[in-house]
Amino acid sequence: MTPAAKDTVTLPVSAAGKQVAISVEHLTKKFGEFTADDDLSFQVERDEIFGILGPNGAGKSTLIRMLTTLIKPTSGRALVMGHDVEHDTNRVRHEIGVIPQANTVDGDLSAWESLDLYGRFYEMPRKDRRERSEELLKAVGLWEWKDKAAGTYSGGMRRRLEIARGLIHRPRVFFLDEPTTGLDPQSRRVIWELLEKLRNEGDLTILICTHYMDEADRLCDRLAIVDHGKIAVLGTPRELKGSVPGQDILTVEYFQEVTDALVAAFASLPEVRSAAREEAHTAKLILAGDVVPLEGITDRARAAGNKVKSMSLLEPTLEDVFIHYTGRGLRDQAAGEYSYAMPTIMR
Amino acid sequence: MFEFSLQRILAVAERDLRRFRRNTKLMIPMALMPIIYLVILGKSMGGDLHDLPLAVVVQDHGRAAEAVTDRLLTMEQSRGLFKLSTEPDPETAVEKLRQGRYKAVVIVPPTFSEDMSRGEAAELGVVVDNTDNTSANIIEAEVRRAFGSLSGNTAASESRSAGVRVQRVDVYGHKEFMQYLVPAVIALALFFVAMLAGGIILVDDRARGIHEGYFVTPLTSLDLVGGLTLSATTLAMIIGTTVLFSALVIAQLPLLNPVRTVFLTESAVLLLAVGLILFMFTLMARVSNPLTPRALFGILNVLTFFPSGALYPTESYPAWLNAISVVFPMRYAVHALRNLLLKGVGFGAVAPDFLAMGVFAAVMLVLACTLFKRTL
Repeated sequence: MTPAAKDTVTLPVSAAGKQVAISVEHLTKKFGEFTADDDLSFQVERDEIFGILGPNGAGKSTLIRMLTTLIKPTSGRALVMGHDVEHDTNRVRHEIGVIPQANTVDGDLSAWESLDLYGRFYEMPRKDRRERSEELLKAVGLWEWKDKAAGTYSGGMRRRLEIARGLIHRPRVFFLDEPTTGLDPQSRRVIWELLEKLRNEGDLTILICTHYMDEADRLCDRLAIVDHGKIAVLGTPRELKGSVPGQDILTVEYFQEVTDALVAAFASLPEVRSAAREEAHTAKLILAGDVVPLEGITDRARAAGNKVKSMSLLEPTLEDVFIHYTGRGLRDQAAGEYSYAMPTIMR
Repeated sequence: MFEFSLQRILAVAERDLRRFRRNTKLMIPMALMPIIYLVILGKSMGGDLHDLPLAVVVQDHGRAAEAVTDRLLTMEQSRGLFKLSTEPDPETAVEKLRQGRYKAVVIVPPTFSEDMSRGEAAELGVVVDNTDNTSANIIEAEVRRAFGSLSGNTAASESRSAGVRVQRVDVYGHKEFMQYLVPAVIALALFFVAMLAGGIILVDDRARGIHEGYFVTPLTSLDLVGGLTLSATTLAMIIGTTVLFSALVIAQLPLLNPVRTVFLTESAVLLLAVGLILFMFTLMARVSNPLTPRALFGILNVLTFFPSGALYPTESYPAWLNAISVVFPMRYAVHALRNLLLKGVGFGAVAPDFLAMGVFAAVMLVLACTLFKRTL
């Protein structure tokens, strides 16, 4: 059978007027009596990074396996670059690159051999394979290791090799199933930077499954929080955090004691919804919006003969979002996994 | 160095036993293997031979010659050892023996009755297909016993008793026992390669996630099965050829018409290798536990190799064992290799074996592609 070329199927258009790379309509997957994914519907626009955030067992991997033709849906429909994942599998496979959750690197092959092998699966010409392999191995920082057997690589290097391998045929949609699970913080950061670079280069839609909130927050343009096989909420990280009751809280520490007059002065600032003294030298300001009134705070403190020692801004995290929409924490199910939200500190 | 703790030892033992408890299916082959060994080996080696095709050429029409024919007929009907046919002349009979249609030819010469009536030693010729040494020895021994033979079974050996002298002729000259084993070791080597490359490596790769990586690419089932078969067959050809030439040197087996024989032998090796590899792919098409092919290794070896005629003639098998034997290509491969290496026959003599191996490989290809799980 000849390979299906990346053809020019007319892609559906989202409500926002953008082309849709992945369209999921009422997708359900059952294993016997157990429903792994339950009536999922969403769209991923072209060139965006879309995240699926949820705890282990939420149905993320099952979803990605359906979208990458590894398993068949029980019901519903999904299109990837306009091709049906159940009935047009060959065309879908030409459009996608996949980093599965499990390590699928062939330890017997070197990075160079591995990329060449996969290039041949897509029937890429030899010259193109060599050029693309060199470009990718340099991009993922494995060029110097290209001739070593992948069995000798660290976990982070294997993941980077899988990313290069998944991109060898220039896919237009890239699926990553928990790409940084089990990696050290440095390796995670390298992979994040790599994915951000890929996004900035354009013409690549990325769907990433993760249970790391910081990963989803940093990388995703939009994300869906899934729990028990259902989408709890979907939006941009900012929208999701903004949807949680309670706003950003600014804690200000002063050199002198905070007086009632100073608290009242802060409360009068238009950017501040309310202010209160938390401790003798600390005031807590609940902000009305995104803007932190730095000048107003320092001016009013100076007028009261006081000086700001430090400020810290606490904003709602995706964990707060998850708890709000599911009624429990991500850590309840992802116990022991690396997971935290980092406050913004200004000093 | 010899420090130990009973608690720690028990903990290790418990962990290991738990593994078997949770994989109880794997214990079935372990328990089954010795029983299968007992049954298959017991019935495939050392069983009574029966229905050995035997031709008789009667060139004498005297009473003594009739008595010989009558006794052979009695042996056929009473014990079922022979399946008797009559041929008009020794040349035709021996030619058919070379084609594999007879295991032996008994020749009653024109002067047999006359010699007997004169009280002189009457010669009875037994021409045997000595590429099947077991059958040849048994036929010779039975003929000697029937006509009052003495001991001795070497090529062209003679014995004299009660006026009848049985003369054995090995149609392929003298063969060492080791030479009879050459076809068997080639077939066995190919089984090992098929088990390793077609079974163990396949399931190991699947367990390591290698195939999951493949499944998201445009590779089809036929691409995968074809590619894996090609690589395993390449390995099998290298191993098979190495074993072939090593065995020829070690067993000091000279080849008749060497170029043709080597070409046809390599063809037989190829057909058997492809068939066995695809058979393993079919069996392991949906297996994901790496222990499974290892647990089945012994059983498959016994089921395919021992009833192939490699070590003992297929004529000794009971009907049920014969039914197993005719399904697997090992029987045809051993028959073809024996004919090629020990007899130096041409393509015509092994064509039915090649056809049987080809059909088996084709059926296995369809089954492997059908059963091979392309999705997770």
